[in-house]
Amino acid sequence: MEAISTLFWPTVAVLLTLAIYTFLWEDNPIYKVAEHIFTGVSVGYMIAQSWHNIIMPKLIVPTTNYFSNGRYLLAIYFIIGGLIGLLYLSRFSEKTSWLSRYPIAITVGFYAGFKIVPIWMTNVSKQLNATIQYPNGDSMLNLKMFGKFFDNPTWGNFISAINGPIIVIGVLLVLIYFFFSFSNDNIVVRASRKPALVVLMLGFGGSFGYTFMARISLFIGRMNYIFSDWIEILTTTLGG
Amino acid sequence: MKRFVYILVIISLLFSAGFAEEAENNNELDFTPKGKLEIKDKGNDDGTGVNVFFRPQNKPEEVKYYLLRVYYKSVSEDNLAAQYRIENKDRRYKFNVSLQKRRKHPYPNSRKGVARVYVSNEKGEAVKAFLTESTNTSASWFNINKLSAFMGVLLFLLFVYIFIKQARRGVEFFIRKIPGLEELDNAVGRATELGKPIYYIPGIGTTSRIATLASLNILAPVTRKVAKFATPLKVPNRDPVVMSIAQDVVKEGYMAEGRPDLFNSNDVFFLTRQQFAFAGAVSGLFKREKPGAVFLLGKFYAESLIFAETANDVGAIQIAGTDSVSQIPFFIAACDYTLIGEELFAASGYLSGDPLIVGTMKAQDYLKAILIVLLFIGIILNIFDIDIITKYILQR
Repeated sequence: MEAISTLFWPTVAVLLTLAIYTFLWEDNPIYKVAEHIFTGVSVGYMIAQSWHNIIMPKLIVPTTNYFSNGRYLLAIYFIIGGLIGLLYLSRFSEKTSWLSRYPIAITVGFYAGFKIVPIWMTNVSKQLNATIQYPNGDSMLNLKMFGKFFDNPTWGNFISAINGPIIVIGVLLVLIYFFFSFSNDNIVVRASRKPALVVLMLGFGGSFGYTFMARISLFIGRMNYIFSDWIEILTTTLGG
Repeated sequence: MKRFVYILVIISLLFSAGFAEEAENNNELDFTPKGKLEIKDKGNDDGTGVNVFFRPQNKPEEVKYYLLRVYYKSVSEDNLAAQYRIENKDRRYKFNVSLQKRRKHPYPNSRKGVARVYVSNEKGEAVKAFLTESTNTSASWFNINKLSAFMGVLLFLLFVYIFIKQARRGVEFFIRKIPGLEELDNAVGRATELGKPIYYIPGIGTTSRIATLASLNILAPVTRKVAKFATPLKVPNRDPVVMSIAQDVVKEGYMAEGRPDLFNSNDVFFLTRQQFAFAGAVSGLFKREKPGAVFLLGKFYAESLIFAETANDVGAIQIAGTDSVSQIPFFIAACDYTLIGEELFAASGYLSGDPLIVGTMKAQDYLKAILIVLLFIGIILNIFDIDIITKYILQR
């Protein structure tokens, strides 16, 4: 029995990993098996997870608790939420499917409204603040930095001096790029288009390299699991 | 008898040792612990935050460590909200503490906070309590720290109202060409010529993601174009709610073109919520059905390259767009056309010409213009150490 937990399941994991990698050659029955197992198990897991993490602790348990504590108003509040959620099931009937639009409308409306302030704060206010000043309050166009560079012209001082202006100019160019009201022939748009694309591509290039590195790290981790951990388990279990 | 005396001596020794230990715990200190403790309602919140200030008044040689415990409602182990070990460095300490204990008390939240300071030993244990302060907290109707966000949103709503009204009156607003969308007709036409289906992936985000909502907005005009050619359109989904909306959008798109017969609810389907299981399943579908065109529009994460590469491998023309900055590079690398960031949000207005969306886009441009002006003013004022913009309008 011990071999099942120590060797069987890790071996299944290795085989499924290899089965998924066979997709690199072409679509084949082994990949299809792994794909269907992955999809099926994930859906089953999701159902159990929704039951244990959402329906029970966030609907049934509080409702019964509030009922038993005599706090009927709160219990009714939960029941109304549950009933609205149940309207999703009306999609199974052609006649009543329109009812499912109510929970959808509530969800979409809630999130659209709820996100306004966080998006303003994080995507607008904080970003522009960080374009104006460094976290320590120094201006992004800090002329003292240039003075420092001219006094002591080192590479480090040069980078410190131009860092702020590059960010300011980059943000302005990209903001102009995303104006949709001006024609592409507009002189400001035309002049800023290429520099804006350069700034964007520099950013994307950095992001690409960083993400690629993370993916390679995942791949190395998986190979490490197969060729180090699993092989060791295999030799230990079979050898022992 | 001797044995009895020995036992008595041992018991008395044990007792005396116990008493000594108790006396030590019972706070027999050779100095008087002193300090200034304040606890204040944090304000601008839901009434669960308190700020605690403590200023030790003993020298570090006398008391090296203090222990600050913050309770909600009353002093009790069950009500402990937070505790901090403070090394006496002869300065004022400040702590932001949340009195909220969601797991234990989901509703209602605490309305009273109690702070107590103890002299602590080297092990971090409380030796003697010497200061206790409490405060009542209250929920605020308005978070004054977010006033600028409120004003910004009001201004934006005003612009939206004005431009939508103008658009409805028939004023035509100009929207510049978005290259990726210019190719939409070609993509649909190519799939039709090849007799292959079109796949539309609205991302893996939920309806809480603006990019998902933008994608569903784009799905409507795409469906109308597809309906004209009667090309099969398939929309795999990761989120059940997004699937429901997508079904309605596709259905309405077909109906708007007078082809309700083309709508098959099984073409807009749910696969799984697990990110990579979804990626695997979609890749499998791409390989087996070899779509002529693939639209990847919405919120994407690490699976973006899996989709883009597989679709590229089967020779599909791809139009992608997302606001996920880390995924745009992958789309640029592997797709034929990419909508970068805000172009995704503009796309629905560009394609549909709907006055509501076009008016909103115009409002966005005006707001952007105001923000650029604010940015300029902020930068110039900041050079002269005037932080009025960063302090009150564009807060961190």
